[in-house]
Amino acid sequence: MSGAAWRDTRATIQLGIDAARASLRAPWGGAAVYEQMYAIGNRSALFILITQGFLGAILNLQSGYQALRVLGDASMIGEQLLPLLIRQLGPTLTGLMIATRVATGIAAELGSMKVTEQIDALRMCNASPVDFLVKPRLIASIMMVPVLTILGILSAFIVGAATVYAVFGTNPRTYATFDQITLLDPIECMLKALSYGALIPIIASAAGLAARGGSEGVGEATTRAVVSASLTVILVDFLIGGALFPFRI
Amino acid sequence: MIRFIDVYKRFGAREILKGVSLDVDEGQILFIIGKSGAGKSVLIKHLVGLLRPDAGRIIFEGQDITRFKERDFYPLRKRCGMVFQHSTLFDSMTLIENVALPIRKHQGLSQRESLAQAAGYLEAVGMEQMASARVTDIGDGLRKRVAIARALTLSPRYMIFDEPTTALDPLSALRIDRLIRQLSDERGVTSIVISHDLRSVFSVADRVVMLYQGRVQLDGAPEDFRRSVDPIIHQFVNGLPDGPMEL
Amino acid sequence: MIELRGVGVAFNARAALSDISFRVERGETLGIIGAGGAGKTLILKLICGLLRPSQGQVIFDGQALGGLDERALMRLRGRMGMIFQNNALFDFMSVGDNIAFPLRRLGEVDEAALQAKVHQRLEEVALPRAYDQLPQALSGGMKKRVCLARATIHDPELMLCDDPTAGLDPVTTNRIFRLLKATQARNRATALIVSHEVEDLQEICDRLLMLEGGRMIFWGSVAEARGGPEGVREFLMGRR
Repeated sequence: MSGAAWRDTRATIQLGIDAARASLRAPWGGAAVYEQMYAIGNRSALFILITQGFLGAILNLQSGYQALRVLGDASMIGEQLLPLLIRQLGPTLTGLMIATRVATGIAAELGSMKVTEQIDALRMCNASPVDFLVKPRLIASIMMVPVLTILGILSAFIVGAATVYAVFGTNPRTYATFDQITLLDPIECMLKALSYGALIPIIASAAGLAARGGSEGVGEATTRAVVSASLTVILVDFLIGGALFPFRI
Repeated sequence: MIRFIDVYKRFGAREILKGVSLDVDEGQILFIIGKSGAGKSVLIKHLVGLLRPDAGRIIFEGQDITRFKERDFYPLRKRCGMVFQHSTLFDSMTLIENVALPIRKHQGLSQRESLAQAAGYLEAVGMEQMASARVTDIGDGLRKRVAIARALTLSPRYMIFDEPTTALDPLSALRIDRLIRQLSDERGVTSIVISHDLRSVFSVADRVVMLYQGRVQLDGAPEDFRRSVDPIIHQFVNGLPDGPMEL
Repeated sequence: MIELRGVGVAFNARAALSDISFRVERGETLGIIGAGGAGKTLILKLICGLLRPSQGQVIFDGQALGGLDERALMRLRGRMGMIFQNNALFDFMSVGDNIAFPLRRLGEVDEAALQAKVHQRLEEVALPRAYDQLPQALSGGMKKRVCLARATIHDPELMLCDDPTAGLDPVTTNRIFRLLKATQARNRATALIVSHEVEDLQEICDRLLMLEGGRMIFWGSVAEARGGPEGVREFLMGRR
């Protein structure tokens, strides 16, 4: 890892620690948190519904086609896909979508505040940027990402069931077979969603606060935010999946 | 010669230009002055087709460009060198590479030929010594000079300067003023300078137009401004904090 | 009130400021001049602790900033006000909330008293009806006045002004300087002003500091500067 990348990583970890500490301190942030919940949650909901809906359709169509060819029967798709959707595709694809939509938003907003000296102005006014800007985004994101994940899973499930019914004629009741789902699946799902919810705003904020120069600096920060956030989502997905693997056998 | 004839422009509810008429004569250095927000930049953007008037006409060397299409403006823009308020140089290149770039692009010359030409333009702005310095290594005043050298590469008949001395220290500003004068004297370039820097106005302008509340308040020689008894002009020219000018 | 002792700042091993030492007493006005990139803004940011020096010490009112954590620095900054080059108005707040912000953060809880103070300050900077407007809707000169109001709403002992008239026309420039002077006099505040308006600085400053390439090339009274070394004199005469 190059010196600069290492410095960025260290700064991000430090920001994570500071923001976590700040979040545990009263006051919890009231109005600012609600505002961010709206920005992160409500304003991403439609985007998540649409992307996850399409993904649900594509996934079921492709695997149904494959099942039909190999097994001559597509009626088991629901049973086979649902656990995968809950513990893997639901949270991670939602996480990736949020990494693009929310991380860019946060990085661009904090980045332009940085280059226009608004961050310095906050510090001059006895307002720590961590308390004032990062904390509400962190709290809101930890609360909203699991909600968005559930929303995304529901969308993929419903659209998937409809697709399978329309294309293969499988009864939605047959599709909705939950036998293969164990307690570990929703646990894994929520673990991932909470981790993404915590990590994405920290990574994006760190990138924004490190912006330098003018509007090019903001652009660079935004790109860095979305790249690092996406990589982190994939990495965390792998780590959590791997850590829970022994409990599955 | 460029003529603005009774030009109007509004943005939403805000009327920026309320019937501005003025002529830009060949070889002159024309300063357009006025408070920030008086419409100086808006007026100039009409000249190169970045904005279109709501009413009125603009004549560029005998051609009515009011109804020009975007494509018609391309050759016209090549004849107008623009020097923007903020540096638009590429940070990743040396100074001479910045100047050579438009030469290579527009004239299809080789790298070596374009660099040789670029050296000439850098010399014209007194920067030949620093040709291989990087943009990030030099201050705002020097950057402005390189930007002027780059604008000169198209051999423009008109040079448009947007607040060329704003945010420059007094010595750098002085050099820019002299350079504008020199371009006019030695190359016969017609210059339009947007500014509210009174020292530049009184040291280099041939003619001055002051915009106030969307109209031309006075059009004349710098001396006319010094002697004017119009209370608005008097307040502006002397930078008096108190007077009839709206805040 | 402020003292810098052998202060240096380096970014990526490149010196941006080196060996800066000076002292400013309460109530004095110091003008900081020099070409772009000479390090003028860095001096202001060092004094309010937004930037930490690589070498030397910055002392504010007898306290060395180097030993203080961010929390203690925040408390000290409550006694300072800064006018930023880009104004740095919070674009997600109304003008009134911008000006009220330092007071709120410093623990003013009496909302009525706070509102009254903000309205009074808006009158003083000649923006009586701007309270509910967003900063984006204002002209450059208006933004600068809002920035000045926010920087001084808590009656700071030290005013740090970073090119407070950049890009403003001469009438507005002189209004801003007059306003600065009046605000400073009311509280007998110390002021550090970075500016290219060398004529105005000679009128309002007690002392001048000139930087070149991150080094001090002059420190002294205005009279000394006028009769001072060639480079300084030339700079001050600039464009006459």
